[in-house]
Amino acid sequence: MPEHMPPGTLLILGALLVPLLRGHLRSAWMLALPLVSFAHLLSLGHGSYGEIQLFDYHLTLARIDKLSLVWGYIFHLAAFLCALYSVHVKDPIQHVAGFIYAGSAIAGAFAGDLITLFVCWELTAVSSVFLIWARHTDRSYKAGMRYLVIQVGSGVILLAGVLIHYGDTGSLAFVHLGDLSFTDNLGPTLIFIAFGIKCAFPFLHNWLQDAYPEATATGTVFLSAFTTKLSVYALARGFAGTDILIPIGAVMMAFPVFFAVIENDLRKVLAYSLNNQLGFMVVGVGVGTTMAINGAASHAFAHILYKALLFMSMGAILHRVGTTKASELGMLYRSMPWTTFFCVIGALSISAFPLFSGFVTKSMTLTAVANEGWDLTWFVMIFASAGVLHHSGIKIPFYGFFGHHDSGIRCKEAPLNMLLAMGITAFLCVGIGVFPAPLYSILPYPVEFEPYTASHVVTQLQLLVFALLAFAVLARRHWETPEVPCTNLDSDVLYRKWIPALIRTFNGIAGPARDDFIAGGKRLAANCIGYAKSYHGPTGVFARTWLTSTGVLLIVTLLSAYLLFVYRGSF
Amino acid sequence: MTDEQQQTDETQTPWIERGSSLTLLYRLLIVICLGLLIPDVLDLLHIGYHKHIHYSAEGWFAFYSIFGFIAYSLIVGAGFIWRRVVMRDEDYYA
Repeated sequence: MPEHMPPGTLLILGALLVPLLRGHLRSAWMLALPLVSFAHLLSLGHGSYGEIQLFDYHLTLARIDKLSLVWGYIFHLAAFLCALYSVHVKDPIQHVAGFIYAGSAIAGAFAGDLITLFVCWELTAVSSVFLIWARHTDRSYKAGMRYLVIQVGSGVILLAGVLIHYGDTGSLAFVHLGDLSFTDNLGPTLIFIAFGIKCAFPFLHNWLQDAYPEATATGTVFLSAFTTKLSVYALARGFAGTDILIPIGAVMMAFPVFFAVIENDLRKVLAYSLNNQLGFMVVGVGVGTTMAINGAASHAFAHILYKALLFMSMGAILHRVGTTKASELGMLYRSMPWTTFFCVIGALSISAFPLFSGFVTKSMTLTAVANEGWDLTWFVMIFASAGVLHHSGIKIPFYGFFGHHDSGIRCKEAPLNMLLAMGITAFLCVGIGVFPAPLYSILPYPVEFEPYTASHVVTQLQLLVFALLAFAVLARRHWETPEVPCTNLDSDVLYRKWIPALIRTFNGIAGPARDDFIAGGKRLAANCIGYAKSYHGPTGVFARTWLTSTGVLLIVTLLSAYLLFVYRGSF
Repeated sequence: MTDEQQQTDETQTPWIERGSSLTLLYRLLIVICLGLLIPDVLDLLHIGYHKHIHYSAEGWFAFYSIFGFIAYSLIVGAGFIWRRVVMRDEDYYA
């Protein structure tokens, strides 16, 4: 094994062998790849690896430190769990795409320079779109195209920012990139926007809710783990302590709650929930203190697990039933008791109940925000916590596996490999919640935080259990937003409906004038051509065949006139 | 339907789906909620439990309980209004 090969590249190279293998050998290879790649990561100590000179650019392919290692560990764990969850899938394209995607995200998290980051950034975009297209539906094809345009667009903006930054500073190092300013610091500002697109900032977010629910049952689990968390890492590396991230994160926490409450497709509910959770991390990065960065990193770690678990449980429903629309489901717990159990573990974890992973991670960011005096943001976080309980803690398990009526659907329990993946993930969610010390020990900074104080446990339980009581009161009176098949307008309506409609309207109004203008131009051109043709055309005066005597007469006449003109003074 | 038939249906329905079970769970939840208010009473009386707060509002009696209940209800209520604004047919983009 090449000693200085950047982490993640083994996954990318190993993915290329997957289509050549069959049966158990392929399964074994898929499960071994993340483990081998993880062993490779562990064999590398802190420091820089793969320093090369490319034209005028000095590249550092891998830089291993405490911050990048948090993402390196969890990305490897997620790659293994995703591989186990999807090992039954026969389509090799999904496996190849999944491993290249995971590998490039890992390589991106360890990128020591901005060009390497850009390459990984684009590779995650191009590889992951195949997880959406693999659904082989018209909707998934179109959603995949929109996803690709936005993701690659983010990469192009990133590259523009990197080149401007290099021109200004002569450095490509991926370190803290300074303040944001379109006039004084354009490069880092463009880089920030590129990160913001992948991190699903408000109004740049809708690629997430558009594309993730259209991917395959297993593909969405891959997608939920890597792209957005890579961007959180990139923000933590390049823009920690940037104040503007705090209001951005606060909006991210709040607005998805209102979309999730009315959404019928449960995988789309989870996509909104993912957006909401990213808000907590973005706020942590924005606050930028050691406790806040620890909070964002630990939240990213725990979030990847419980969000993957929830997407896995919905993927199992999609695999067995063919839909995750709440309006078509009900009482599936009878057919899928284990999946139900694991989903409830995921729901408890994301809701941050004590003894589950969300409790020991999210609260670190909350405390950091309160310590720094961001009052309004803190209240938004508390409100968003109640929102998380609604859409992910209650709506997902309740409408996915229980509901108000029996849908009559009877199906098999999820395949064994899916159950195993869910079981391990659920175990980790509880394990982190009960024993947070191992997770705290790998965080970027020393942890001075105790999650299990009487006050913290009691107040968190009060918040969540009384919210649960509100659910029970409202449900008993049927005062809930009913689950009905629908489409809810979000920011993607701009580029999917309104802007195309505007262009069509403009064409309708300006079309006749444009046609008249073109017709007038054509008439003018035809007149010019006709006029020229009358002299130079086949029958024109300049096209006639003249007699030699006529020519001689013309020349003699011209010369005589010239002679008279020159010697006119002599007469 | 006779009472006997109703009782038979009730026993054939899984426990979690029975009306009586849901009522029991609902009452249990209310009891738990009441139990969760005890620490705030103790904090008020300065007996054995002290609430650690960053903001004065957190010190109010049952702040988190009331906040959780109202926030959840507001979110559900806002859903009714928000749905009127943004909901369209399922094939809106088709």
